[in-house]
Amino acid sequence: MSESVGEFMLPVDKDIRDQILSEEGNIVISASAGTGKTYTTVQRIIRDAEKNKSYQTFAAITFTRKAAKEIGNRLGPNKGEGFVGTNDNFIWIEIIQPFMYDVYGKEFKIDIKPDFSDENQISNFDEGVEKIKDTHLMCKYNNNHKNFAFQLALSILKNSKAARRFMKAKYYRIYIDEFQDSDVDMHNFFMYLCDDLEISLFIVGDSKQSIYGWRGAYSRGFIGLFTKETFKLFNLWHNFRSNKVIQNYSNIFMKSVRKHYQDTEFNDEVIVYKSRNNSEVVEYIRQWIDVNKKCAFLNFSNANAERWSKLLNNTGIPFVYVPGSPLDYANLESEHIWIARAVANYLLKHRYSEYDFRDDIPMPEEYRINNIKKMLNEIKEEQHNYNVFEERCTKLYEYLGYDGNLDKSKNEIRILHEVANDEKYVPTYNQDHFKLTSGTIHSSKGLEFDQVIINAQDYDFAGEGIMYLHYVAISRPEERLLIIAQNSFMDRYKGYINTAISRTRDLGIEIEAKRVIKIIE
Amino acid sequence: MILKHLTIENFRNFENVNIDLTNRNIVFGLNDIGKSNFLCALRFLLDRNYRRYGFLDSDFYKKDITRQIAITLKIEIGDDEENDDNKKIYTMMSGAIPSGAEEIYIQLKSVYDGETLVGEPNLFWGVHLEELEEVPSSQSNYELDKYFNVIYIDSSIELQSIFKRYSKEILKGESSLSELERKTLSNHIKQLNSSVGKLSTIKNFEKELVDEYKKFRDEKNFNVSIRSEIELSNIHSKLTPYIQDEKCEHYPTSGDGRKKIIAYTLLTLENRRLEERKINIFLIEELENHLHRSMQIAISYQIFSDTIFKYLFMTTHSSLIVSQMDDVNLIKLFKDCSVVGKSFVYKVPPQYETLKQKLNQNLAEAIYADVVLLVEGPSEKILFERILREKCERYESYGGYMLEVDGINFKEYYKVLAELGIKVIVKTDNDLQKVKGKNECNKIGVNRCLRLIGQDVKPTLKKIDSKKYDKDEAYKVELKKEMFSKIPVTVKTLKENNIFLSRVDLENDLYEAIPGVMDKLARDNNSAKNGIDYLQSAKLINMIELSTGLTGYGINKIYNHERFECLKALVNLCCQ
Repeated sequence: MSESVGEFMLPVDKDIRDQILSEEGNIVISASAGTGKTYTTVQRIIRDAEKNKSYQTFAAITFTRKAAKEIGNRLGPNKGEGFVGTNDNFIWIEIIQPFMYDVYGKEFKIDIKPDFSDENQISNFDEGVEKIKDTHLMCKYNNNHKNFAFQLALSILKNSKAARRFMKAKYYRIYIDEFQDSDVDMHNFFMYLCDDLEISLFIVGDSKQSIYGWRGAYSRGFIGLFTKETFKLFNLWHNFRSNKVIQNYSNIFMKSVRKHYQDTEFNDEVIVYKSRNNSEVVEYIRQWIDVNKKCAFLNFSNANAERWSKLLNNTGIPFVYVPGSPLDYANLESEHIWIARAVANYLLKHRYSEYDFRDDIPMPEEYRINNIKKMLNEIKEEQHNYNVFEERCTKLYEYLGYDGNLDKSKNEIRILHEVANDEKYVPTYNQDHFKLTSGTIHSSKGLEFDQVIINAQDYDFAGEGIMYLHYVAISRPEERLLIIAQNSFMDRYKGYINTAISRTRDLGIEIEAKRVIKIIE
Repeated sequence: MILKHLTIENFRNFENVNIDLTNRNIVFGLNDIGKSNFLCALRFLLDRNYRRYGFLDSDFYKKDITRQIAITLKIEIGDDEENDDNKKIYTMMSGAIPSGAEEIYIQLKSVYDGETLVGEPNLFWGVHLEELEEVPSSQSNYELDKYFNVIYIDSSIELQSIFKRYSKEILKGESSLSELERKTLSNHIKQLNSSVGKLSTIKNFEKELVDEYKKFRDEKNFNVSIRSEIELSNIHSKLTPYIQDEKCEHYPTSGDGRKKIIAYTLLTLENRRLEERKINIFLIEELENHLHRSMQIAISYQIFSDTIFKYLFMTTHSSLIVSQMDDVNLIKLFKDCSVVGKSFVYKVPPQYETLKQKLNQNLAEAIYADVVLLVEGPSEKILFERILREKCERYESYGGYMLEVDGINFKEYYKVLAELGIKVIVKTDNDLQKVKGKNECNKIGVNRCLRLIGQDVKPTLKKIDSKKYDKDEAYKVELKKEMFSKIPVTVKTLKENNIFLSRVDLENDLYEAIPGVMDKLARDNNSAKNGIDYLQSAKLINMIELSTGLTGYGINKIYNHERFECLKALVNLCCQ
């Protein structure tokens, strides 16, 4: 039960949260969805920064720029001299760029540009080092379970005394987010920092949300930390986002949080509906949905998302198809892809101005807002005319210090043009504007919706990582969850529900299906 | 972290100076030699606020704007990874320091821009002087400035302005007042404001204002209310420090001396808090001004013992300020065609720890001179001063100085002064010392001189009659005279090096010049002794008597005598 103090709900695991703020040494936090991981991390960073009177500083490392920006915003002036950024950026700026020459020779005292696109691939470590010397570009393995940049960073640390003593001198703590998404090489790198360099680590992750196994994520590494002697483990499980029923429902499926099930009043917040055909489904949705509240229909693929949105629209339920933006694909990662993404925001996103654009620039003080505004306007004016558009985008790239004439940049600009001129991407850049959206699970990670609809067909628990995807999807809604199941998929899904319930019962907890989910057949 | 070396090129009066450093440095020299500029060079290099407006044409050596100003500091970081200041440097410079590097350079360069009429300062750092990298910066914020904090203190320091700055801090923070204190204070302030608002003069003024307004515009229900808005945050500007004497009442800090020391105290207090975050570099200019002797000595104690002054550059003319110096680098700036700096790391020799005060006091005065005559003791000093008063009364204003070593080894003074480029003249006794158990004597007088110029010492004097030596003074004197006559070459060499060995000792040498005067003195005092014995029976007192009584005749005889050539040497060197 959570206590209420006025309108403010005190978390049930408050004592754990308090302890997290003051515990010294290495810390690993296993935190479920919606338990306020970012908030906890930010609180800890602020508290450590206040206590720190020395020249030392901290690093807050995330996986995505978006998460880094979130932390940066929440810290505000508390950020001080600390590093807040992605892990790729961290090793590039702090280790590879400055110290590579110390291990590999003077030829490496150059500006190495990060570039993770597919063209620049290598098959072994030495080839990678050579490639950097020749092209001045960071590269990656053709095998996405191995991470060249991190192997390189670790090699530099191990071989360069200067690099080691720099890291030890500078950092009093490093905070790492979404650790379940680390790959083996990242894991090894961070373990070197705490085991050999004795830099305290504050690690947060959710083993249940590791949906990037296909991309090489090594969640066993994260789980291994739970039992590592030099780490103190904390579990956060009070969910601020969803109501109790949703929490219960998502928890019973996952071994580590099953025990938190607590019987509570059930008012049909979770429903699984069997149907024989699409029109039945659509009809049911029509009566189930509250169109005044946000609802996301989460699919596995863009194609399905589009199909459902069309179906629902045809019967008058105004769902909007939210396709993934081509600009967000991982293979486009490069030093300057952010420019194309920010321009897309400028052209498509409501209320995204030149000031927001400037916030996305890594070192904004160097650029004048008037110049940026002028260039963005010029791009907007010629949005449709490809040649002029390309010319003006190139000009912007160059103003920001990048070569707009490289193949990579030209490719980005081309895709940008495609995206900017295709209306179907408007919802992608304005998701918060639409109440009813139909998109993919990956693009919903981190977003919040009052209501969520998923398709039982998508979830075959035998598949690798599917259970985690299921958890991500069902823990998304704040109020209500609807699972549609066509024909035989219903039986399969019911089987999963029964397994979950019986396993919960095995823990000695009293639980009945009808207190957890309503089954409509 | 150890400061190692500073090079200043083409800056103000420095064409090219190279100076070795340690962490604590004292810079001295004549007025206008450039001591201030020396500190300015450091400020340009390390102090962001000083550097921000760049160089004027007058900052370039001889106003030659075609040249480049370069100020380079070498710092040794060695191998100690646990040293906090070294850690700050590793953090600050990151990849600019490779493994194994033990020294780093920080450099400022500037070239004059004829259009903007300013020389922009550009900062560089690295481990190889020929391959320095640009210091990372954004706008005029250099990475360097996040780790170095320059505190410049000079005697024009104003207590009020420093206190004002500091007093803001006292009341600023959220935690500076407790809830109860804040509430109570707020209430009082409210009451104060309310009382002020009710003053009859205010009320009258309000009415006058309204009446006047209505002449322009007759509005119904119009009124003006003048309110007092004193706030907590205004109060700090009204805080004044008072010195409290336990016995007397408070009295404001009116005296310059105490005010200055409180101001210095505020500065150290303020910067002590920064110790962990930054590297504090103190640049102190002529603190001695307006300070009483005892205060100068007190400050000297503070400066040479407090760890906050770990990195220090101090200019001074005062021997009192440096009286407590130990393990410091003395830097003398002087002119030799162009301005040159010479330095010497001065450490109080362990055997002189207890005599430190005396050693330093003499040394602290001598280092400011250009020519120093080292003599044995007060007798020499009295006599020579008398003579010099006739022969070159103003020798001190020409940079001359006479120092009595008085039991402390000549070597200690000689070493320091010579390294600083000061010309040293030595007048010392021809001492002999009997070797125990043997019929030999060590020629300590001669050897002392030879060691000063780095030459081999002479072997012992052999075949002494030990018994005679112990009992008969005259025998010793004869030995000395004989030994002296056997080393004409050595004596000449020493003279060429400005080292003047007595034939015997002061009184005996003097007897060669003015035997009559001395004997007369003895007789006049009813002594049966001869002139030499009389003087030596009560050295200082009788020498004073002798000196005061000397006439022009006596003075000339002494001055022109071979035994007292050291005086001519002093006069000649001074008047060059």
